[in-house]
Amino acid sequence: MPEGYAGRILVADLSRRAWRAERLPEDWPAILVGGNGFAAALLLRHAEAGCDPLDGERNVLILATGPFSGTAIPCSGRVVVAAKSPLTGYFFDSYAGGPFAEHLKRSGYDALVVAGRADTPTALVISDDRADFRPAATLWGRGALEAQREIRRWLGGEWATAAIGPAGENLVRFAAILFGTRAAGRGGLGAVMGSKNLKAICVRGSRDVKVADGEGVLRLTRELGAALTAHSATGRVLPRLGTCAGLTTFNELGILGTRNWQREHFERAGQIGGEVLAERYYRRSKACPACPIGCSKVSSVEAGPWRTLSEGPEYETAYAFGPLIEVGDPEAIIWCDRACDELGMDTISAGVTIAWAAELAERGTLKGPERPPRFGDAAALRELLGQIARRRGLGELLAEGVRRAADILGDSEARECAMHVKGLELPGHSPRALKGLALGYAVGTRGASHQDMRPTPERSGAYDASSTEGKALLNVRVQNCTALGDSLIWCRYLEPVVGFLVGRWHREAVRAVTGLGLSEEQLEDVGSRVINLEHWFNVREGWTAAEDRLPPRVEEPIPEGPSSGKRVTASEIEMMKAEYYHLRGWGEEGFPRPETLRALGLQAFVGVEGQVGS
Amino acid sequence: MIRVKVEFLGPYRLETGIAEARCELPQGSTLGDLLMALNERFGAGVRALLLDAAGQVRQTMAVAVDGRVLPPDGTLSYTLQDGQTVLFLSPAMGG
Repeated sequence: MPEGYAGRILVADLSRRAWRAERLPEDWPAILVGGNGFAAALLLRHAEAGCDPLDGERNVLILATGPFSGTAIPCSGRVVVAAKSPLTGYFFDSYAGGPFAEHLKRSGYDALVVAGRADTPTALVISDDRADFRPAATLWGRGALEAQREIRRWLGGEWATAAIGPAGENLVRFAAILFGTRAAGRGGLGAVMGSKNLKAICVRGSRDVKVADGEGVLRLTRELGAALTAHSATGRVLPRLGTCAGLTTFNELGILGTRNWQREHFERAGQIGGEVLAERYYRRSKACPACPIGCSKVSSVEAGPWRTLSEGPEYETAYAFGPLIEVGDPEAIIWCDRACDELGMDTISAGVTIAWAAELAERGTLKGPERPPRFGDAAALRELLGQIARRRGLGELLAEGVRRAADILGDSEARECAMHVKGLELPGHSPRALKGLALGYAVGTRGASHQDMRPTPERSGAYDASSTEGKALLNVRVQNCTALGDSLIWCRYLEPVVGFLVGRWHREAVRAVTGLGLSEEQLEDVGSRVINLEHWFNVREGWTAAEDRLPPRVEEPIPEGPSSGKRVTASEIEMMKAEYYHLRGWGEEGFPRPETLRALGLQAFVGVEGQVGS
Repeated sequence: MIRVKVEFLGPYRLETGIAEARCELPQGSTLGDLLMALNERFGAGVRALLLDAAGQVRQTMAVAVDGRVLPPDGTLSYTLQDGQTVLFLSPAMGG
């Protein structure tokens, strides 16, 4: 087994309250690297085909580390969690910063598979080799942050913890898992945890993490750390302004999703951008382990109706609770950020779903005994977030996420203004203005995620955002890089230095930590392999190419502002999609060709024999 | 002479202490010339945010003119026109 790996996988069965350690297959480090790759392979192996994502007995929850976890490699202090998503019904991986991955590896495991469903609320406690199932009924109903504080008090000493809040318990389809104060927010994986009656996971490990070339790791750590510190994005902007720095820029370019994406310019953006938050609300910065950047900001509102303390808000949260529902009050946004953390909900999906409801209320489509949300009505959020997390009143509908909520209403208007791809609500990056990103949303295995294809190559001007030319190839190469990065579990904020494509930093870091002498081409193949595994999982679960499409609203031109007139049409998407499938080695209907899977060495994972997807 | 409006966002606003400025430049001036003019008014900070030690536009950093983000290799040589608005942007990120 190469260095950087513990060499084992922990399988914990909540139904039988039993656990076992399995050997990590010898060939996995070289072909899948870790993290995302391990999670995709394990989900294919352990999740029952065709299962209801919220069937705790049949879906599984995977947590995995990367080879860099527990080493000094900058920006490697993150963990991946994956499952079949309650929002999309497909493969989903979500990430959170913090010490969890390091402790899991130090306890002797590269990955954890949580199978089965506990009879009663349970906490899974992993301490070095052992796993233990503890009663957690007294934690049920409590906030995700509060529950972690309580369980750390029970256990004593230093533990890495993860927990769900009321949203996960009540199977809200966009429930998050909180790792400390950081959220693995997207995809509703907190609801999978809730469906298993699993309130918390705690881990503590004391083993060494070995690397192949200690001097090489030290040299690379110094070099990369210095480059990150010297770059204005990672050395100045993120440390001072946090991720909200970009909000006013998006607005000035006229590409900031506003009023449920009816517009892309928000008059009050200046009140909620990173510049104002830094001046008035940020109290200090926080960094994940091994991170020299420290993008996270602890904010506080000291007095008034929104009095609170929160780690955040991140840009996506400010987008979702700001322009998208036309709230220009930074204090309300900070309050919503903390509320969502404690309730255990994804801020993007929550904001998009509320914006959808506000639009329907305005049109008179959404009726009921309660006051529906309205654009600009920050006060309504105070109750509504709790109602969603507890599935009360209108919250029962909104807890389904925007796609299912629209289907429940059964109204064509409701479907037309539901901003999602494959059930995943849109993040704060404009598909109308960034055509490569638009394709990325359409073909992404997770749906509308900005973490597969990235907005950054086009937004930075490195690629012409208004052109469809070459965007299929750009998607393939950027996605291969992000899938590799997620398998190494390397933070996206390395982009200013490491770049958008697989390069020498990836190769040198892998060599120094693991000793594997993989070329850049071979590393890009790892990314391609991971994408194909995720896609194969989706095909197995019923995916068809008809789902690789964008919400109809993005065909309507941006009505005003600096990007007035920009749009992306269905025919543009179809044209780019066909080229993308071809470049991926998939058939016209998007099903992977057997020879493609064989060339990537995936036969053992997918059992390729005949025609796929038939 | 041409007149351009310059808007500073995010880190540039912190660096200069202002949100916008008006600049007068000789006809045919490039964005590189504008950077030099800003250097005289605000010190080397604006240039250091945008460019690396080799004078290249840093990855993820960008400038937009009249709402169009310029490609990195065409930024400094871009010829400015009278009445244009130059935006110094925060880096491209998500979060």
